[in-house]
Amino acid sequence: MNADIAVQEKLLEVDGLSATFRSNSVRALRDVSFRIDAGEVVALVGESGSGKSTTGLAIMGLLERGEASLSGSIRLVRKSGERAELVGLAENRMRSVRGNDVAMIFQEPMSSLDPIYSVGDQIAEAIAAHQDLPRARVEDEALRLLTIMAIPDPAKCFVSYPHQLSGGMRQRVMIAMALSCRPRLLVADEPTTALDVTIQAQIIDQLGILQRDAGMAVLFVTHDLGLAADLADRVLVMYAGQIVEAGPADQVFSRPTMPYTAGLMRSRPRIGAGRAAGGQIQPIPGGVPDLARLPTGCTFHPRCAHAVTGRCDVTLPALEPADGGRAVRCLRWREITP
Amino acid sequence: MLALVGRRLLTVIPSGLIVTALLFFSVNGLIGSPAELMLGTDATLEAIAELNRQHGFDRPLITQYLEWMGKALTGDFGRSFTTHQTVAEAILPRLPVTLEIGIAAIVLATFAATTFSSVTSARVVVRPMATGLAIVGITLPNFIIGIGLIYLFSVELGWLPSIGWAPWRTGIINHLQHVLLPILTLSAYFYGVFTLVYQAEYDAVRRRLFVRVAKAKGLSERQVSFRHVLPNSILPVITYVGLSLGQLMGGAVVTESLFSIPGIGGLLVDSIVARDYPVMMAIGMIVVITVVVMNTAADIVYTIVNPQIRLD
Ligand SMILES: Nc1ncnc2c1ncn2[C@@H]1O[C@H](COP(=O)(O)OP(=O)(O)OP(=O)(O)O)[C@@H](O)[C@H]1O
Ligand code: SF4
Ligand SMILES: [Mg+2]
Repeated sequence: MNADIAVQEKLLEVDGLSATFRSNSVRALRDVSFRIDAGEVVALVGESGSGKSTTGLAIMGLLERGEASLSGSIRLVRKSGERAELVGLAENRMRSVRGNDVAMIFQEPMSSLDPIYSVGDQIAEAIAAHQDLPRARVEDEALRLLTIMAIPDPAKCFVSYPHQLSGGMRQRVMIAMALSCRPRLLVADEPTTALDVTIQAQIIDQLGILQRDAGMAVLFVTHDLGLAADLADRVLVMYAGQIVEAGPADQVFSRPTMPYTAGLMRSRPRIGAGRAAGGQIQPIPGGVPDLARLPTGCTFHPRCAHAVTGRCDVTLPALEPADGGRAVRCLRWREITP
Repeated sequence: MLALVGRRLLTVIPSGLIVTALLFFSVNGLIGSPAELMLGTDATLEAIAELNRQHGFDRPLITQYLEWMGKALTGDFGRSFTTHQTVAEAILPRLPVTLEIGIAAIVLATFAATTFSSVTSARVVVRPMATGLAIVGITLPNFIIGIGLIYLFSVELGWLPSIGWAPWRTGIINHLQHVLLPILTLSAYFYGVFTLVYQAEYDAVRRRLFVRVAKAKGLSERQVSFRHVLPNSILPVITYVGLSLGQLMGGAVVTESLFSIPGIGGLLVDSIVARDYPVMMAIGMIVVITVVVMNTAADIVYTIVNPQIRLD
């Protein structure tokens, strides 16, 4: 680890975060800990239902008290330099964090915007929520943001209603909105999953440029390991509500230590690695466990090829430090090469 | 959009013709001939036949209907059988009274239903109170609510006059004091129905993603609820306003009788008791035509508030 990284400024620190949905007793997050430094891109990967969106919503304080019970700690260094504990923070203070210190963009651009207001009004609303500017300045700023997002005709987009825009345009608008108050952290929850590939690439490129220009940190939630490897400095692998492997993206993707990470990588389609090359797609057998009734021991053991009875189904592994600055949650990581 | 509004407006003509014809034929079918109605059951057949001939009630119904409509369009609804003044003279002075309490009741019901149920407060239980009040409004008959209000505000508290009517010219305050209880009485049922319709839609809209996005911007609960959820939940209520006007007339009859208000509702009751066919028919026609027009108006409002339709 070089000195440059060592002095990096801590931005977000999640510690022992657990979340249980009240309606169905689903334990969506269990003892989740990670940190994000200022300006850093961290990818959060994992199968559907592993708790990625719940993590993002918890950071935004968007899990309502009646909806889920939350424990643990989420500490954020705010723009003011104040360190705020977000778990249990009073609603009126949390409101000044949302959209201001942390912003979020969501998976479904088609339903992210209010159908009855124009795009310009909705961006202006986000600006006015945290900045005390005259209306004309707010509108100028909204137009500027649309221009930054490489929207072809910003003035026209400004007066458009959501249904008049394509999915890609709507997601650009969402990003413009999210960036409107220059947050230090952006939670991007699968921002391009619902879009077609060319649009996806454009938006990811733009997001990357904006991220570097603004020195903004991004928690990038994605299914796409390729995208995670391209974009992220570090990666967090999540399984059934726990972080099972974490570390620098190049380390984790070149030599996965936890069998689940390795399984995810084998189950992903790759161009140029067809059958002839011996790179077959091998899906992980079985499915994600019922989060209301979790398996004993290592949560992954029913699906793990390396599981040992009497051990993996009994002892819950802790997230241990391993080689290359990473952490891994597996009882046997020293013994196996997954 | 103008073309759309134009098309909607054109549908008023066929549906107006259909409902008025239905009313005309069914009233005539139910009461037999107007002459029988006027002369009572002990009249001789000759007398009935004579009167029918005099008034043209012996001709085919379709002819009578077309003639009635033709005259009605020129403002001629015939003469009252009892007072012998023209029907227009009998109705016109009473129409503004009913319109005033009817419109006020609907506006109040819509406003109260949408605002009470949109209040999101962790401490005060506004929502359950709104629902409780709605159930009271729906289940209790109009006259019980009216009597309850009179008992509370006139008898016990002595704040408002119990019954009677004071026109505007007797002073605004005096007028408002007299219309307040009738308006509350008449709006109770509609408040109830609108509240239940609104709450169902409100809860569905709250689960939509754009609401979460609005919250993620840093808006307050109140801003999210009133700026984003409320306007997206109001359309079904508007549809219901259009559909409620028939019931509104029923409510007006009871309320006007209870409070001794000189409106159309009271006149309708009087005309039925007096077997005054022309007045009865004219009021019935006014009601059904208002219902058709208001349904269309609700449709048009629906169109205007929905940008998806407005801009196409
Ligand atoms: N509001 C809710 N009420 C009850 N259970 C929920 C709720 N939201 C999510 N869950 C459950 O919590 C678990 C984690 O969900 P989450 O949305 O965080 O997963 P995810 O990793 O984002 O999945 P995906 O890739 O499909 O978006 C799932 O089992 C899900 O069914
Ligand atoms: S602890 Fe056992 S079951 Fe879990 S990942 Fe490691 S080897 Fe597999
Ligand atoms: Mg998700």
